[in-house]
Amino acid sequence: MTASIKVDAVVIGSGAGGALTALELARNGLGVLVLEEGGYFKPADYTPDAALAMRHLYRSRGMTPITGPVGIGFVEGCCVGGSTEINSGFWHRPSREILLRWQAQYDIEACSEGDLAPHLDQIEEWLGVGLADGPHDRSTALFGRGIERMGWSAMEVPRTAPGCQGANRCAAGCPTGSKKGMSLTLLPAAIEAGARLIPHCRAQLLLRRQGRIQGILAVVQKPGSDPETVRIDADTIFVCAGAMETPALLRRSGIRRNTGASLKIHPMLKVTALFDEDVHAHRSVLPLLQVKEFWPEICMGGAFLTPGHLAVMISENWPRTKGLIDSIDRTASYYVACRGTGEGSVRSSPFGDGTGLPKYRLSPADIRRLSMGLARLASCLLAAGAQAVYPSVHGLPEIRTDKEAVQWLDEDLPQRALALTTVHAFSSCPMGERLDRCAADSFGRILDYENLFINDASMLPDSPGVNPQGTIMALARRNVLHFLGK
Amino acid sequence: MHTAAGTETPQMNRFLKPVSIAGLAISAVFLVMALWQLEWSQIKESFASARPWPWIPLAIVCYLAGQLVRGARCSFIVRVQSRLSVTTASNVVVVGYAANNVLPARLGELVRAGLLADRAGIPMTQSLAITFLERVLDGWVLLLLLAVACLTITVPGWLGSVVLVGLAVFVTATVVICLCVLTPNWVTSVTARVGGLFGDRFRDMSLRLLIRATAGLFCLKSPRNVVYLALQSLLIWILEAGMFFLIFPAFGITGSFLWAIWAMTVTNLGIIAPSSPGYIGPFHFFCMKSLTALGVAKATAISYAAAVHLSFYIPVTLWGLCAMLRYGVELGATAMRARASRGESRSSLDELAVQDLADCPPFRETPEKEPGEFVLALAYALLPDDGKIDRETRSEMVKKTAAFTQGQIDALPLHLRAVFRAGRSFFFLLTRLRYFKGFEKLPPERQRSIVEAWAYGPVFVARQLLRPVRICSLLAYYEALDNGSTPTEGGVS
Repeated sequence: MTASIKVDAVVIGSGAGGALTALELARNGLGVLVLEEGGYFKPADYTPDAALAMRHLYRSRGMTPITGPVGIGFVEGCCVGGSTEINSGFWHRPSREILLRWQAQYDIEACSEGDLAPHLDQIEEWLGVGLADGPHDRSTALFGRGIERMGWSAMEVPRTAPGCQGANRCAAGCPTGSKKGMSLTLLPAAIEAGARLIPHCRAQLLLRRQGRIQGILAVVQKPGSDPETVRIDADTIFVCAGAMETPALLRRSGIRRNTGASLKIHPMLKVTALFDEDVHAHRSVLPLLQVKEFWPEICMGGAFLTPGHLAVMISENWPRTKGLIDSIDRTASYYVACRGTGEGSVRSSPFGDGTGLPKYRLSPADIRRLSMGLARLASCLLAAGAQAVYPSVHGLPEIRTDKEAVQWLDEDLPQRALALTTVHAFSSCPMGERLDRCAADSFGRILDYENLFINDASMLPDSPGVNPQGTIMALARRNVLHFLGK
Repeated sequence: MHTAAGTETPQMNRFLKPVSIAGLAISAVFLVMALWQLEWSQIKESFASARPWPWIPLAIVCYLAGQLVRGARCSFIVRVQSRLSVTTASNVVVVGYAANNVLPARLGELVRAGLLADRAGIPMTQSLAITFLERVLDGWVLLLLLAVACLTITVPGWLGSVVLVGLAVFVTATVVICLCVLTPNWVTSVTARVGGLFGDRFRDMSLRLLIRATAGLFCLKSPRNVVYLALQSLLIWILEAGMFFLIFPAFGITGSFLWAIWAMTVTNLGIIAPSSPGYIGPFHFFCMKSLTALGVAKATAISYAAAVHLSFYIPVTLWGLCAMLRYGVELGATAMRARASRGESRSSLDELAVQDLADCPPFRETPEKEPGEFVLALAYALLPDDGKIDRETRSEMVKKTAAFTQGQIDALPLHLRAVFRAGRSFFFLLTRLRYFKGFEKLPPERQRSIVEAWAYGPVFVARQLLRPVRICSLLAYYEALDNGSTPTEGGVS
């Protein structure tokens, strides 16, 4: 240890939860230090190449699969701004139904729609949340046509991307700065309010003493130099490292009460639709509509598409589907996701830097919902005019008729043939007042520790059924203002 | 001696005195054991009939070459932390040996660690960890060489206990090193918890020591480095065995090189335990025992042992003294200079944290590593070859795609990487059994059909094995095609 630092509050992580926490703490006069494992990238630094973006902006270059009987691809950001730099910018308010469920099952205090509304209003103002300007791109319009023909309810999803120019580079970092990731919004504001940031700094261990955290051991990787271990002492510590790394850090620090034992995800199955007409989905923003007819258990929407992503999506049946690459102008990509009900966990790897190792076992209900969702999504896309629908399922190269589609309303997709992904992980350290299942109290304070808080996706008690950024940020602001006595 | 090892203090004197007495006592006991029932005249006669020229000078040259390799090894180990020339590193190594020659109980190791800390500008704990690592490497090589020698030599019964002691010491040390290198977080966590039982100060001190010591083992994170260090260590001890071998003819001993290896390993394992200054006594005893076990007369053996001992003792002590005289005048200053040049003086919040995002260090692109043969062969077989781009461009793109894919595979968590490697071995084995040829020697069409059968076939495990390679290769290839760049060009800044 070559450095020893003392501050009022340390925030570990600079994503949606961490940036907001740092901002509110700094604005209220606390000396705040934000530790971020990744580096800082300006919009001009971003590359159009999704593979290169994975290498630089994603944790472990995007190679952080969730293991289990069926492996599930999972990625999260590891850069200043966290996953908000590489997500689609979709914004959902948590639904009344989900919040009521959480209150019933986890006894969370002050977590009603009314409690969260002022926080959501404020954050939406900061991030410019709104609907797209102008007419929809073709991939959205075609999806809308299918939804209309099916007679389903749907909505256009608001985004944190005012003035989006449709660069189709959300997953590789927005080059125009339209998408309001944390590195462009709340972090600069936090820094202006007095917060400090150490990039390339990974929290290694929390130093405990009789119900308090005295400090943190963190490893700083300075450019062109050896890693340096620093000790940072703080009166309060907010861990906002995400659903995987927060429980990993807590567990390797010996804090194991209900931490990392209840990971939830939204398993997602992607499909590619081939239309008769040019769609140019890979040159425009991703489809913005979401089907709400079957929500919250099943959700359908649009997925990000580039040539590389298309190749990956159809690669389960590559010898039969590779020709689709030449028709990329006529393709668009969509997904069906379910509100995962399987069992998941996160453990700290005993090897290397102790990164979080997630596991998840799909429940029979997950498989059922994904199967039904595929049947419905394929029917919808065929109704929209698709010639064929190509699911990411090994041995099921294409669906060309409604009859082929509806088969999956009654049959389960073969589990081992599924190529699932997810970008939504949460609930690994649920909060609430139920001591048998919660790792933190209703306001994110870790049980048994007076000065240790979590404020990120890990604290959500259960799957929200939608993109979780809005829910995370609303709860994070509520928690930090409660901490500040406001 | 004013080094990072500390200043000579009354406490040290209080420590040195009993250690010196114990060392001298050990020396005396082993000398008595070595010379027991031996006529002085026999030894005198043995020395009188010896033919030192040219064997002793050659042996000394051989031994000193070994010291240079030791220096190269030391320089390699610390290169992550500091640029230390082979000459300087050799001087540091030799100072340690010279100090061992005059101090009891292997205290020279501390002197050496102190000088290394000073010259490389690294903390003393880190320097001690490096010295510890070198000793463990040496120990395994000695045991390996002993095993080789034992293949042709009838092993005496007393050797068992020497080997057992050696094994116990080196296995324990290796486990500790492996834990520190492979599971640093776990070790830190355990240290914090156990140290915490004895209070905050003890915990903080333990953590500080652990973190510094672990930094000294940084070079072991790469398997390639481990292999390189093992080979260097092997060369060091073969050169030392060369010294033993070259002195055989001087005393009329007609032994093979394996005899020299045998004598060298037994002698060095015998002096593992801290003992007398310059190992006087234990060295002679174990060297003599190793040779008499081969049928060499006891008087010849003890004379030989004395000659070998003097052959390294005198040159190393002189070399070490010269180095100490040279470095002694500037001790302390070099450490500060080295730290300053590495920017290690950063220690405050102001120096670590940025107050404006624009102050964040700019991103620097680093090239991908060369892909392994397996990943490269898979990329060739998996990626399309439809004639849409010319063969040369395709070849270049496939290579760069494979480099990206290799980077992705290397980024997998360790347990998944291990599964991938096991699967790779299984893939090669099955291919060889089926076609009586290695995968890489099969014609491209055959390679493609095998890979497609695995990647897209009905066997779940086979598909899973190739899945990361398939996905990463396709992603990188088509992204590069779309963006008009090859996978490692352009990109972030």
